[in-house]
Amino acid sequence: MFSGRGVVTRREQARIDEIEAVYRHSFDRFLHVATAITGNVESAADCVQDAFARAIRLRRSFRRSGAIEAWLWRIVVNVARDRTSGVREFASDEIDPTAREIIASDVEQLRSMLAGLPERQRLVLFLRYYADLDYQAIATALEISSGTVGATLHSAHAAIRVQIQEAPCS
Amino acid sequence: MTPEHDSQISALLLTAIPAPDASAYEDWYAVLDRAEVAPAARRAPRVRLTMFARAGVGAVTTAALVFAAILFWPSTGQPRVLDRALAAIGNGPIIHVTYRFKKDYEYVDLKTGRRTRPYQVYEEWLAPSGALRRAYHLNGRLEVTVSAPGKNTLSGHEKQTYSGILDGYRKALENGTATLSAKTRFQGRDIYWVRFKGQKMLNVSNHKSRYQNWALEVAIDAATYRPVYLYETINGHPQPITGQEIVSVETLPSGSVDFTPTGKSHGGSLAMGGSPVNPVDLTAELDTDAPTKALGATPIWLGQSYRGQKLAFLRTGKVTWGFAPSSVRPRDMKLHHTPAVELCYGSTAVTTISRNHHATYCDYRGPHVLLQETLKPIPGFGWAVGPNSDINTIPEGSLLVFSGGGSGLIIENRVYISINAESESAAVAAARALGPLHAS
Repeated sequence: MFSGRGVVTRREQARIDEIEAVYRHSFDRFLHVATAITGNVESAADCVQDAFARAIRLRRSFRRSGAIEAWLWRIVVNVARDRTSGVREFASDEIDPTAREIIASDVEQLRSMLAGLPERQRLVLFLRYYADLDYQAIATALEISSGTVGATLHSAHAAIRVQIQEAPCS
Repeated sequence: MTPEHDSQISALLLTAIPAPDASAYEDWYAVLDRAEVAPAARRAPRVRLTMFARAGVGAVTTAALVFAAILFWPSTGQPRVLDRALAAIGNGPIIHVTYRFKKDYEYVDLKTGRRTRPYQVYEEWLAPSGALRRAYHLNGRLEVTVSAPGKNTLSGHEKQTYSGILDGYRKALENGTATLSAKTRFQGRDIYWVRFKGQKMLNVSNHKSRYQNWALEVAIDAATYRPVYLYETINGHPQPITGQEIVSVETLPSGSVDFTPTGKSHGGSLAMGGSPVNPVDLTAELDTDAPTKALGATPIWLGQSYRGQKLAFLRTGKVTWGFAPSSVRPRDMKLHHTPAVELCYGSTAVTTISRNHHATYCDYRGPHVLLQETLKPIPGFGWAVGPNSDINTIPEGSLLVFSGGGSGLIIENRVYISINAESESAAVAAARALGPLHAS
């Protein structure tokens, strides 16, 4: 039944089962964060699928010192960021300018506001509010310290409040 | 420490990007497929052998069908984008595609400066046998070639990845190697971008050889799911000049297209040798008769000097060249000897060919204009033979400029002139200043 490179040991099968459990339990949150990063749900679904496939291939590199979920978040965020940088580069070269027209709606204003934040602030916000992660998990996912997570989140809140106050009433 | 959580900001963020419907996208088996994990890791239903024994052969068959259904049935019950794209292609045995793409050159009207980029339209039909029919529309005339199966019908990389929208596109959608990369607006419509499996290819440009990842992306119309555009990427970066519009795609029944081999091919090999080597003495009064006699018509030039650059050399001679199908051995190739004139404005440089043989050329490292002239379009001077020979027809009063450089082509008084300068603007300026070579 086993063949070639797909052979897995019982211990590795247990690790894959763990990864699957996280996938099934938190898929909606992974998809939400990836959607926020990439800008569209189709691409986000592809990113999450790709990230978990990568996690399975890298299963031997996961160390027991941290939570497996935070490790998976790091992979998902990195895959989504990679995908976004490619799309952005492409968009600036090839996409029809009419596609960049911003629809004057509240949702688009909010999205523009988020897009205007520094990348780290955006990611911390997404992981805090869409994934409901605590500081330690966010720190592991973004490979920064917990203190930096707190400071970044505080700055992001302040930036959003300023923009809300400055936004014209519609 | 309690993580900071602001309910107002939480509400704003959820308004900006609401949680998507995750049930439509969750697919653990697709993850395992991508990870290339063997079937056992898929956690197939754990059925005890004793159950099989009790239930008999019918139950075994049922379990196998259920297992297969779990593996291959779309988890949402709804067709995905890629499934729809596959369905939109149709399932006829012959695929027919019409492409339109922008050429890698523009015409610059020398009076108005207006730039026009021409289009090329061509069609391809691929038979299940591998026979390939191609039709090029060149300056209003149609050239058709049909290649028999296995006779250079598709290039190596096309076979290994996929061949445009032809055969491999359908296979990639079927076998799952195609992936969705984005949904955007493009050329006024919503499209999905689909990325195809790339391959390592050797890049030998700039005297360095290194491997790079070559891949293709296809735009699929979000309304019809039909492919509408494709382009190539190198290491994930789009290559703008590779973009091709897909005008139409259809599949056709067997026997509806003539795949009788035409026996000739656009492809061919080129032989070049020799260049104008007879210098006209520039230290004495210029002999205008010699270059005119050598060329067979009055050459075109920029005067004794141009924008502070002196005429560094004026040479006459013949250029030897040949073009034949790849099946013809180079030594059997019929060679042509075309009279030519070459003029250089700027500095010259010398290169050593052998111990006793040196060649002087126009130094392209600084400001310069090199004019190469013949009465026929020849490939060695930038003109073309074969499928790209439409560049040999240039609107009167216009310069053809190639993308990304200082090279241009123009036809003036029946003389085919190739211009090389340090920049495109310098080439355009030189084209505007051209005039017949008369004694000054």
